[in-house]
Amino acid sequence: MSNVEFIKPTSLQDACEALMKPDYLAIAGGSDLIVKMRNGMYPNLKGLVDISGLPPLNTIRTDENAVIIGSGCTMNQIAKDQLIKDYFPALAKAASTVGALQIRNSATIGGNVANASPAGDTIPALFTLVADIMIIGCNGRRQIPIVEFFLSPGKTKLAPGEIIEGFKLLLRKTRGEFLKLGERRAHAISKINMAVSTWNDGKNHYRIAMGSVAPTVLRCREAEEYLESSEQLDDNTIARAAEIVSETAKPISDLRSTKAYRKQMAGVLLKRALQNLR
Amino acid sequence: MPVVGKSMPRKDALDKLRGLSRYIDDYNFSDILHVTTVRSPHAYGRLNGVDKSAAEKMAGVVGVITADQVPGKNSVPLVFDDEPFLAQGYVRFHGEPVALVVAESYEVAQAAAALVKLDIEPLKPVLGIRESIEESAPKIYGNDNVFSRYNVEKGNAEEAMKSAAHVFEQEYETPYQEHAYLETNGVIAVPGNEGTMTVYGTMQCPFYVHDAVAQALGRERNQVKIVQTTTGGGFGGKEDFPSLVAGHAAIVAQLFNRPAKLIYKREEDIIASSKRHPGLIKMKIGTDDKGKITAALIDYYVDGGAYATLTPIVLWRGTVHALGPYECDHVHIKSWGVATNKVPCGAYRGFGSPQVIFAGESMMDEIATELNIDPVEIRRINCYKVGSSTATSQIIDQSCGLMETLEKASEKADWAEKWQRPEQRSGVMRKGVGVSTVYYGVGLGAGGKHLDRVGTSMTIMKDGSVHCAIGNVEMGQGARTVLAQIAADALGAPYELVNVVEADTSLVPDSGPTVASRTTFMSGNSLMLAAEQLRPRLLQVAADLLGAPVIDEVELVDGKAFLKSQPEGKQIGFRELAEKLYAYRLMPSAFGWFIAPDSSYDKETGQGNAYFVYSYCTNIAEVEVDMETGEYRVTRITSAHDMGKAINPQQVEGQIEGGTLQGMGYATMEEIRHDADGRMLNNAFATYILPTTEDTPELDPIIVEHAYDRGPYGAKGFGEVPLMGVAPAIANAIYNATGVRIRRLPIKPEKILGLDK
Ligand SMILES: Cc1cc2nc3c(=O)[nH]c(=O)nc-3n(C[C@H](O)[C@H](O)[C@H](O)COP(=O)(O)OP(=O)(O)OC[C@H]3O[C@@H](n4cnc5c(N)ncnc54)[C@H](O)[C@@H]3O)c2cc1C
Repeated sequence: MSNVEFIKPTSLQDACEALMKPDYLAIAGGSDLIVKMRNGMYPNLKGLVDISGLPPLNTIRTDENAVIIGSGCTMNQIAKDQLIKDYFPALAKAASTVGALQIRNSATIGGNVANASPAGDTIPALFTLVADIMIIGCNGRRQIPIVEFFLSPGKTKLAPGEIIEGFKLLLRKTRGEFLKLGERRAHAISKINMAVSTWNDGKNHYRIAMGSVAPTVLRCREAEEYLESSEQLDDNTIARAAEIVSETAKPISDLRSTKAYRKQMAGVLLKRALQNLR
Repeated sequence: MPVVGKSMPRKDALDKLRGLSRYIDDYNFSDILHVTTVRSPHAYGRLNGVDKSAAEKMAGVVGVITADQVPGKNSVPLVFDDEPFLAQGYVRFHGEPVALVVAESYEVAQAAAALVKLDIEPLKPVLGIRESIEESAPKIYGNDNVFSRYNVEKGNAEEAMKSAAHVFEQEYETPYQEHAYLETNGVIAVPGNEGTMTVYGTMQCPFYVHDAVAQALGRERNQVKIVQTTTGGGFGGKEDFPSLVAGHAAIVAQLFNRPAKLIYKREEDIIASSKRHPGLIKMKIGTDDKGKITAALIDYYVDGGAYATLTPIVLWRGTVHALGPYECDHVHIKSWGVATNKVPCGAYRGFGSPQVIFAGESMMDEIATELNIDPVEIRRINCYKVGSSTATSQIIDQSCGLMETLEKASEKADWAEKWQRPEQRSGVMRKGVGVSTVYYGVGLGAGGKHLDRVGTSMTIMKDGSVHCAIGNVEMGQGARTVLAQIAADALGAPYELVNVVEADTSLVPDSGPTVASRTTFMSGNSLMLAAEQLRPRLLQVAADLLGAPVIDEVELVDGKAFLKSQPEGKQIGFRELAEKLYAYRLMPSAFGWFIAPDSSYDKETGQGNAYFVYSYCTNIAEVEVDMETGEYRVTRITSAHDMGKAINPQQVEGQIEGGTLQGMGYATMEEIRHDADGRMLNNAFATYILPTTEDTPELDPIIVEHAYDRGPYGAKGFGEVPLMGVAPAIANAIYNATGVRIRRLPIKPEKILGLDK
């Protein structure tokens, strides 16, 4: 670990260039990366590129009809932001459940997404808010819808030299819920988590996504469509939607929980989220 | 008593609060070597060789040490001496130390360890109790895989069971528990002149370490000195294991004649150090129609792991306590400590008891349910009172506050209001209450009585400050504070002037281990014996200065001497007394040597006075269960404890609160997992789940004092008790809320919903 070069770039461009070198990694809050390094997961690591101080990454701003959340925003910053709380409550709630206070002061939303854990708590929320991932590289910028971003646990479509600059969300008021089950009340990786966002533009829209039930976060299209086609959100509708997500979930048994429990909880969490949103 | 019975501030509190306390990793010596351990990646296998060449070639590496280089005897001295310092011939568990890599820096030692190649031919491991005791199991220890077994037989339980009005039979299982002390294992060994060796480190039992280092090096005891450094928690986990760590560092220090530092990473501490034994308990209990126990048949198994280490003694305590604090004329308890290819298990707060308490206290609840009796009431019917006879036919002759703990806890927790049958509860969120009652034999008991003595060296310094060296350690439990209180009052010295220092094997003779809740009782008594010798000398000086003809006319309390007849008259301060003590050339030191009150044990029947005295407690747990997710919150735990006398009530409450929380972790979430090949899977705090402050319930400690006439100011000892009965109280509360009986810890939401498969 002592032979790793530490680079503190002053611009996004410099950061991207530094990240072109093989075995150089970006570091933001370090709350995933340092743990993985210590566990020997990067034996060939040569350099760390510290992007945490780069100003454009640390703000939440509006841009015409969009909100751009800088990738370097911390969980506490997001959880406390009035605009996020008013417009994207599912995300504010998700951010407020990460780790514990100290972790939320360093953990960034960019790190949570780039780390690509199937249990990452802000990812389902960003799914339901139809976020676009804004990526910057040496050759310019590109955007990818979040549903297309993840390939497998820990793997994304980011290419060498690319950094997540931020997340672009339509400036649209949503109502939302985020629920998770863990092995204890803080510092717990989710056994299962679920985000639901809903908005009305003349017609009711629902977005549902859940984590820890498949190799990547799952969007629950079937349940969304069912809810959107239902006349009202009564107990029967909720129960049926819960059955559908329970079917959609494709979990495994691991150290944290079992397949059977996760499947059943997918339904329970959706039911509770919808009841809260009713 | 100016300070005994008062919540005096802890001697070590301010330094710890300000981050000034120095732990072993904070120490350094010039020319120091760093050591890391190469461990077996297999649970079981033939060790054909160790290829050191690549590691030895690395710059900064000084050497790689294997079993053949151990200067003394390659075995850690304990009960059977069967564990080697470094594996030889075979590896017997995943994580077993095979070689030591010695380097100029910690980083180089780490990197080089990865280059040491172990030639191991894997063998099929034995991984569980049921597997190990099967007739057809491969034999990994002796001819039956049993390290030790006990038999406790009172009356004729088999016959009595036949005529019981009701018979209840169940099996219970308990998991590993990791101590998770904040400070991992670590030592520094420093070679001195003429073949001497000093080892500094975090530990609970410096005299065990003394034995181990002397044996590893082949040195005399007077050439080896062990100095305990400020210790960041032990809970039993630093009873036997530091012997091995210290042995390793001392071997390196001796071979290279340089100081050697060996500090464990958390992951290796969890993989390699002792744990609470997993338990399997088969209970068959007979009662009459009113719920009075008439017969008990109990089979108790513990998973000892790959080496016997402390298993025989852990098993003995559990065996004796297996029925719980209940009168019964016909008891037959059998027990086995079995070998498996997993990490050796050892001491953990409660020492073989929490397993059987979980079984016994769950069983009491099951009996109460079946017979339609309130769970508190069934305990009133069966619990020990003065005059009761234990499972080993010992008559409880004094100091039995069990019934008072039961009454006080149930009253404080509002039991009568809150308890109702599970069928009467409804809704998604359901509350429940559960109770457990516990007794605990203080000290080493008949099984370890040859070790049950402690020394104290007490010196009044020229300035009046008092220096006390003792044979037990401070490991965060507050021993230095409580013992200073006892010493101060016994001597008549002001508390501020009395200091009890951390243990050093060159200051007092072998005083046994710091375990079994024995420190306050044993060292407390030994300090009183020392004070008893010094006090007349101080009184003699005081009598002289006050002009009293005999010392009987003088009183010395809280650092002030005065004439008994004139309590408001002239006073002599402690510092002046000390100055005069030296001027009079009286001996300012004394030695206390306390031998535990007697205990006895019959090898065939297990009958006798197993322990000299018992402590008692009642726990009442309250839970709220979410019936849809199975998640639950432990909302409150009320615990009433009889420890004889609370020398320092705040410390007592601290012990109750901390122990209760550890017991809650054991009940609700803690669990070590292995894969099918016996490799430990969750040796990190990200995966070995412990409660955090967010999980902490409201804790309601209650002190009950039934003095013990042999105790210092009536104190017994109880440090372990707060953990021991928490799990069944919670399990019983879960049953009370949900109607679901959990017989296999931990109580996970998945199990409550039946979705754990
Ligand atoms: C005690 C503890 C508790 C935790 N609890 C939770 C929890 O409850 N829920 C949860 O979801 N997570 C949890 N985590 C995981 C972690 O805190 C989060 O995933 C966090 O959001 C990661 O952000 P970071 O800024 O620390 O990322 P880092 O560790 O700095 O980086 C993580 C990865 O992302 C890459 N990266 C970072 N920023 C960018 C960027 N802008 N562009 C491209 N790549 C980037 C890094 O190269 C690295 O591979 C916990 C971690 C700890 C240590």
